[in-house]
Amino acid sequence: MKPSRQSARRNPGLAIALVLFLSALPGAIAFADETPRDVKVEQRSVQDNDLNSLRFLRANRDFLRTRLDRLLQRPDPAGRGEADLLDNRHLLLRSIMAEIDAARDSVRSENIALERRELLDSIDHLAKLDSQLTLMDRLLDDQEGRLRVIDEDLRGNQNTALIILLKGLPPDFEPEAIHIDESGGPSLRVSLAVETRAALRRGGIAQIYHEYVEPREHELRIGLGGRGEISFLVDTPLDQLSFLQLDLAHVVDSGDLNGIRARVWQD
Amino acid sequence: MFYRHTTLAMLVALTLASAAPLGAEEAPFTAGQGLALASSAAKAWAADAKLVYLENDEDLDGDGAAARWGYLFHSQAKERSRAYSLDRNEIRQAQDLEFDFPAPPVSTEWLDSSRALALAEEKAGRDYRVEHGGRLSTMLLSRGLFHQADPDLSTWTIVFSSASAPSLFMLLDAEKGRVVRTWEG
Repeated sequence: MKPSRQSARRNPGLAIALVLFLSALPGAIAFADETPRDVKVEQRSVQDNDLNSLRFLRANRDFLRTRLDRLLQRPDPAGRGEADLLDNRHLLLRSIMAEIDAARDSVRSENIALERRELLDSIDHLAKLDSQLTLMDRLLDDQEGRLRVIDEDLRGNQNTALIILLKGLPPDFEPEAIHIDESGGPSLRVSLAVETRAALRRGGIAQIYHEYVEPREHELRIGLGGRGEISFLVDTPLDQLSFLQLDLAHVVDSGDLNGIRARVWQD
Repeated sequence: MFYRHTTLAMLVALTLASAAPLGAEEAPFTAGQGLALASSAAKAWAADAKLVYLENDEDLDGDGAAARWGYLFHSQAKERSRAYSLDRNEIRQAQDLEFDFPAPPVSTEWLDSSRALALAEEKAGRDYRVEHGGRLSTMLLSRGLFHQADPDLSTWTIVFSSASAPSLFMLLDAEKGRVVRTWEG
């Protein structure tokens, strides 16, 4: 009798349990979470600062700087200074405006012709009227096309942004300001006036930050004027508005900020 | 015996099925494919940010693709440059350049790295690799740095290296793909 075969036969549930365990291994497909989620506090670097980047540039820095210096110092034959490349969007918008002006002139002249019309029952006049209406239709279609181009251009320039909200404050805690720092990024200090603190205690929400940000993970360090500091990792996906809500209701004092609850979501 | 082998096969199959696609974030991509993400980050950093330089941050394959590219933007208003190192899906590193580099912006239209490499291979790159046992080591996009006779020309600089011969540098017009010059060094 072989013990292993007998074990498997006596315990089919073991195989099922093993299958379920393997299915739950890290790397299993995670479903997108669309609901607000609590943010875990972690102490790790958000960026791979040891990654090598722009290796050729850094290895040949002196050579390239010398070439750049010569480039920047070259004389301009016309003496007007160095010209910048025109933004393609600027050129596109200028050409669209020129087309709009031309179409507007066409509409104006056709309107004048219509106002001078005397005999509408004449077949000739009716034929001309029909062709003028056709022209108007074409001009309107062209205008719609231009608006579509502008709309698509604007939609293609959406940016990534972050809004930071505050809520909650315990009765005996009076922080006068909140500090939010990011290494290699902006440093923010927002005063919390007496009225703001009172509103937070009554259930109000205060928006303290709304800016465009880089679409990446950010490590934000929060302080409330004391020795305490706490970090949160916030991912701001590309072309989305991200919200970070900080709930201060369980903070005891500025030296211990572990009571701050953070939630992140995207709109 | 049959039951044991069947169970083992199921376990292996389930392990493979449950594993995430290996190195999804390490899949190589061309320089143009990462531009939108890098540009979006740069615009958040500075409204007047312009792309002035890019190069491969990981080794290149035969299609001009790399697992990571570095994009350098310069802001005249901030008088600083900021570099983004991207893999296929995300920004792996964002940091200000540690030295002053107010390079002119590259043109808004340029051939992607795949096309630029194909042209370079056709002209001299392939022959160099075959003759000297060399390999493609660097592709970088810039304006004016390597061809001061035409300082407004954006160019791909493509470098092939070999242990047994000087490196081959090829300079291509980044818009039209014409080989501007080649040299060894």
